[in-house]
Amino acid sequence: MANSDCIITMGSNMAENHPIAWRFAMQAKARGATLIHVDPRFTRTGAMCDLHAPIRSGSDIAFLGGIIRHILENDLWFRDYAMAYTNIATIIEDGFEDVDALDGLFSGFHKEDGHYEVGTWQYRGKQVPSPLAEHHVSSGETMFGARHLGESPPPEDPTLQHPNCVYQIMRRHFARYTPEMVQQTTGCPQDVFLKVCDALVRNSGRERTSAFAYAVGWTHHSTGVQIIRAACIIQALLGNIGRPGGGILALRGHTSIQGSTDIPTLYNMLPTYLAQPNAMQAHTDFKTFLQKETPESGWWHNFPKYIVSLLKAWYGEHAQLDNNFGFDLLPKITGDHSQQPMSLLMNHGAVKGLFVLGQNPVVGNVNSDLVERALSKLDWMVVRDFAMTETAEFWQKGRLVQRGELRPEDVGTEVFFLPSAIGPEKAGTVTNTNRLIQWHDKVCDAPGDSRSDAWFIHHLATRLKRLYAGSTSRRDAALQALTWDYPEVDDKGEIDAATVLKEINGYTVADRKQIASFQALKDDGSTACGGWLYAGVFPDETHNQARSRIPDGPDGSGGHHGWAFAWPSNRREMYNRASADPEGKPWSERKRLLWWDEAEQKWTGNDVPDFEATKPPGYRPDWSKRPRGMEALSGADPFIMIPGGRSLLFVPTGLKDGPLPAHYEPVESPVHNPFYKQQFNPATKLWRQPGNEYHDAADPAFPHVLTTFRLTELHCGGIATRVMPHTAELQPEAFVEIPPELAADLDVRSRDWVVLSTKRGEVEVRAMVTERLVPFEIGGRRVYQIGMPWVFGWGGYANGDIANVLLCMYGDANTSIHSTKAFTCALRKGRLAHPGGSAHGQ
Amino acid sequence: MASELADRGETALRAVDQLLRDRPVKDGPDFSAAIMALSTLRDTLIARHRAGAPALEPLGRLNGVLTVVIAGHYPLGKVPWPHIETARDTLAGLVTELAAMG
Repeated sequence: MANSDCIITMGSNMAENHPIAWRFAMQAKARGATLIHVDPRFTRTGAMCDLHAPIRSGSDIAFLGGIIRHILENDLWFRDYAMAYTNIATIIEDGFEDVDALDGLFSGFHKEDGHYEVGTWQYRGKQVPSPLAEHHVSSGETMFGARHLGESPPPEDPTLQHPNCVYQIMRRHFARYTPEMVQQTTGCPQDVFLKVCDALVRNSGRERTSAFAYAVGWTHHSTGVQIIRAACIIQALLGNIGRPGGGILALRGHTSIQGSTDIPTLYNMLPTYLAQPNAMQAHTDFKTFLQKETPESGWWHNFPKYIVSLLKAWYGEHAQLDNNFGFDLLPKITGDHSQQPMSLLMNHGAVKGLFVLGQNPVVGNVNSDLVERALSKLDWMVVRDFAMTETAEFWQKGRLVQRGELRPEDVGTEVFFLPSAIGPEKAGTVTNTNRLIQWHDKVCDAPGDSRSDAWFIHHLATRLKRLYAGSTSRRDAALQALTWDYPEVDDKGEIDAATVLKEINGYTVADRKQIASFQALKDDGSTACGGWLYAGVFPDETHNQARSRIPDGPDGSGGHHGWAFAWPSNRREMYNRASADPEGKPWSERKRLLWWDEAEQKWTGNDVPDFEATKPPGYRPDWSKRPRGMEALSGADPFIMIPGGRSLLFVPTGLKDGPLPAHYEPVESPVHNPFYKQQFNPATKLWRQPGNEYHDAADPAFPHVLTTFRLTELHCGGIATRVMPHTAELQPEAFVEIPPELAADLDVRSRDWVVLSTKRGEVEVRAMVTERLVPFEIGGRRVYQIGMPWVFGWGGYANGDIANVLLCMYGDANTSIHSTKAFTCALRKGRLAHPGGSAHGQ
Repeated sequence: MASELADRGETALRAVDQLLRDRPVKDGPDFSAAIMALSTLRDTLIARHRAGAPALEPLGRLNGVLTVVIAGHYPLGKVPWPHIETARDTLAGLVTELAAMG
């Protein structure tokens, strides 16, 4: 990012919420870069930028689609890059129909259950497997009998004249995203929008690169994945992927969210992005699972090596060739087991127990009252935190108790609160936003009975294994087979976190020697590895690369390869083959990173190649030999994790809500969709249930756009900083930001009490009247947007009502993630009649 | 408890049958009703098991039925109606057995 010539921060208040990463944006600015902030609120990020573009929350695709149209219609794309490295010339099936023809739906939509079939989105005559096995598993498509990419290259028209080539489809698709429509939909003035376009395009190409940075302001929408997709299209068209200063930086919510995605707490993937078997798919036996989930072309063709090695790490001697390496022991998912469905199932009595580690769902999950009701129906709940949380106290201090809906003596949930150690009180790693795995040592003991989460999991596992050691039931076999040999290293029974990291790195089974890279992994059971992308982080018994702290000197490459370990392979720039042209020469000296050394016959440069190190640029697959894996990718196909090796401007498989981003309104919006008849993303996971009602479009009872956000001073769910006097006093109570024009309409002044209400509930907070929010003219009417921090609760020194009371549950079609950024609500001056609000805000 | 088991079994079966008749969209109330009825039946079986009666084996089968119905309410892709039909048959057999228990 420090090498960027232009940085667009959008969907993030980066300066306040990601201040460490923001330093690199500041370095870029010091070198002359243009900084832009696109955001509903003018924050300290906007204040540090050259340009702030205000937009209505939830209108991001209209804005980004406008940029795409600007690039295409003015022929401003980086032609040499995009023609070589994207699927812009690829021809799509004749049956494909775009949203323009179908009132906002793509072809393949099944109205009865709201899902898409992807057959018409395919390359003509081909069926393309998903780039990410996780998505393929979830979308339900089958690859059996398909003509794969390993047989021949996809059909292309290099003249770009074919009506169904991606270029022509995109031109038609984005034609209506004119500057006028951008203004009409987002509220951003055309001249400001065009300044953003100009800065971005001017700072992209051979000599210059631009970056995007985003956070949950993009992801927490019913179109979250497609918003990011829109940025991918822009960056691929402009040649800003795989190059210094380019890219799309996903800013993660706190220290190791990236790590908890890699070694996941997510239900739908195994460590480091391996497919999680699904009982509703053809995954009942290992052979079929491998056949279905192994793409014929690209790097993921190595999938069997990684899954077999994982099974060896987990089940040890119980994972052998003759029992399919214990595949039957792996739990199989059956549907969407993510956080929101889990809460709804608690409310239905189907989930009986809950572990809460590192979370405060009463504050942090949407529809807080429904979450409380769900928790009250559990048999038991274990909460681990270093301070008492609202979640652990819901049964005696919750909103439902405050307003008399629930009596503590009627709550059957047995709550166990266990004190936990915090970062400096335990050793381990954090993996940050740019995949950098950094070890930290323990510096002091945790007080009293506080223990690390590793301690808790370790002792839970060992006790469960003892409990079920004598069982003859088949369902207990996985627990019995699980390897669990982490040595306890102190009198409290803490384990050495390094032994876990070593296992994740991987080793040879016969002699238990650490492996140096994932290239050493095998699919015959001779290697074990807990997460293939982390291989190399602990490459020998005494070398913990994550603990290394050697920065580059003044003459260094700037990659700082001696500082910790960036997965994979300590590589700092993903897809860095794209930093060189198809012939292997840097696009420019100013932006050189990797290049082909003809004399040495290998790739070299300032980073670890994200490519086969000795594959020459001129290599072409011999299709007569049915090439597989990397053999099916040419020496000029940089995007090796994608089956065709090229960036996907148009996505044939892997997305559940369309091959191209299209603007849909949020599920709750004060306006009708200016673009299509379809109001909101038709594939959104809706869960209409009592207590989770939605507002209709343009409902006059809920006229305002509500967005929620974080504060610098109060961290995430808030309790960690609300119990600290020195941070609590910096943000002492909950508030809502209101634009002056709306405040005047309601006769509200700063520090007045106001009530926000939705169908889910209502809250009272102090008003903060501020010009940081501006009214928008949308669809010929004035739309106000208000913003409320979601970090408050009843606990700690700084407290106030919970913003998530107002929100409802629905999920992005691809990720199931909740929405927190664009809802509708009502606002009035005054206070609530009863503490805890009413059950419904009307 | 035997009568309670039989009653709750019948209630759960009726809810699943209703679900299969209506084939609602995935966020419809029929799924919620079926899941709640099956969960209530399971609570009764759990209580029976904890009271020392032999209930573990039917409890395992009931958990399977509940899992499949939940998969229909919160699917990845299509609603797995064929699986739900199979689960319904399993439940019908189980309900017959539960009626005879005690």
